[in-house]
Amino acid sequence: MLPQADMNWIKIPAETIRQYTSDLITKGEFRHLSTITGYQDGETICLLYHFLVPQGGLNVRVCVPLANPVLPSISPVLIGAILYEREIQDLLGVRFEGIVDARRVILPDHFPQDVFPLRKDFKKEDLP
Amino acid sequence: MSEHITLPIGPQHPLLKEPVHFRFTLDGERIVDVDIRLGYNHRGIEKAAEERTYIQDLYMIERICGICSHVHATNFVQATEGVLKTDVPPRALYLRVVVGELERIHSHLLWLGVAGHEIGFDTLFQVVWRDREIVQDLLELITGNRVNYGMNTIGGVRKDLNPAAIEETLKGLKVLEERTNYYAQVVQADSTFIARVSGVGPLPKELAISSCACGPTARGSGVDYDVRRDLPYAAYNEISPPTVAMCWAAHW
Repeated sequence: MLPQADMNWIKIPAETIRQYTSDLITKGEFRHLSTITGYQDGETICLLYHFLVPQGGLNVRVCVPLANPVLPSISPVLIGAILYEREIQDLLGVRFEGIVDARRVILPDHFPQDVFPLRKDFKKEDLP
Repeated sequence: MSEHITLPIGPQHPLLKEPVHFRFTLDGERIVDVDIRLGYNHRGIEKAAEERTYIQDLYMIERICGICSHVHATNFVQATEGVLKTDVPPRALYLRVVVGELERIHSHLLWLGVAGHEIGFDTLFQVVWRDREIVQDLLELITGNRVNYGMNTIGGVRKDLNPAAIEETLKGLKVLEERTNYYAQVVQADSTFIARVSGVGPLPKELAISSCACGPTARGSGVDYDVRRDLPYAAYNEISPPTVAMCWAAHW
């Protein structure tokens, strides 16, 4: 079987993601967050939060505009999300408001501040 | 004079298995902050995958990790099969499980050996890694390869198991089972081993959950979680894998 068979997919407004995560934890439904996947889809950046809840997999999609990719960090309510968020921050240039630690984790210090390697307009030839 | 001391460790350091950099800030002997950099080995595989075909990606993705190569390839083919809505023959799903479980055994033996080495118990390291050769040989027998097995393909697997290989595998597993039971007995009875690890670095259950720990790390902290049971893939929905883990750190 494919693991997708056991999964639920939902989409929620980006600004509600911290409250959503917090509610999962308070209701005792949160079991695990495998990772957060980030990808660019045209003029949008979407994030997929891969939760495990008692019923199985729960994939929560939120989207933010590429021109202003900002959403609340869930790290204040789930500290384990911090490395996932910092990776997306480095590679896709998403800003997580209220993140517990916003320092870089993947890119080196000398890498330009406004270049994000996983965005579609970035080509490997552009590497500084 | 600042009261804090910065202690850089890595990217090259005898303690580290792979290049990472930790910039610890110390207040006396207390660590008050750590700045980490994990990108030294980042090969941009996600970006590279965007520029290749699905079949080319499969072989590249198998090379993300040299310890857990099969599981990355399994994830990738499952995602691709989900997009294509492809049915996979049941025998292929079971063969994915067979290679997946053999990979799990070699991976756990590898880390058991490393754990022995890290606490100065090099005999454990040497005998465990000697035994790990048995499972490496079985993987080579079944797939033709010891590290990147090339077993998976989109829609199934690339190799079948013949009766001779099955017999050889069962024989090898029997030896491994006996040896593993013996090591489990040793680490639960040897007073030097227990004194060295008991109560060292415990990860409380609540912190294991909130820091998104998984696998044996989570189970060692008492979190009842196993992806094979809780979010089954391949043929795991028809098998009930035994889930065990123990941790001396919790015994303080």
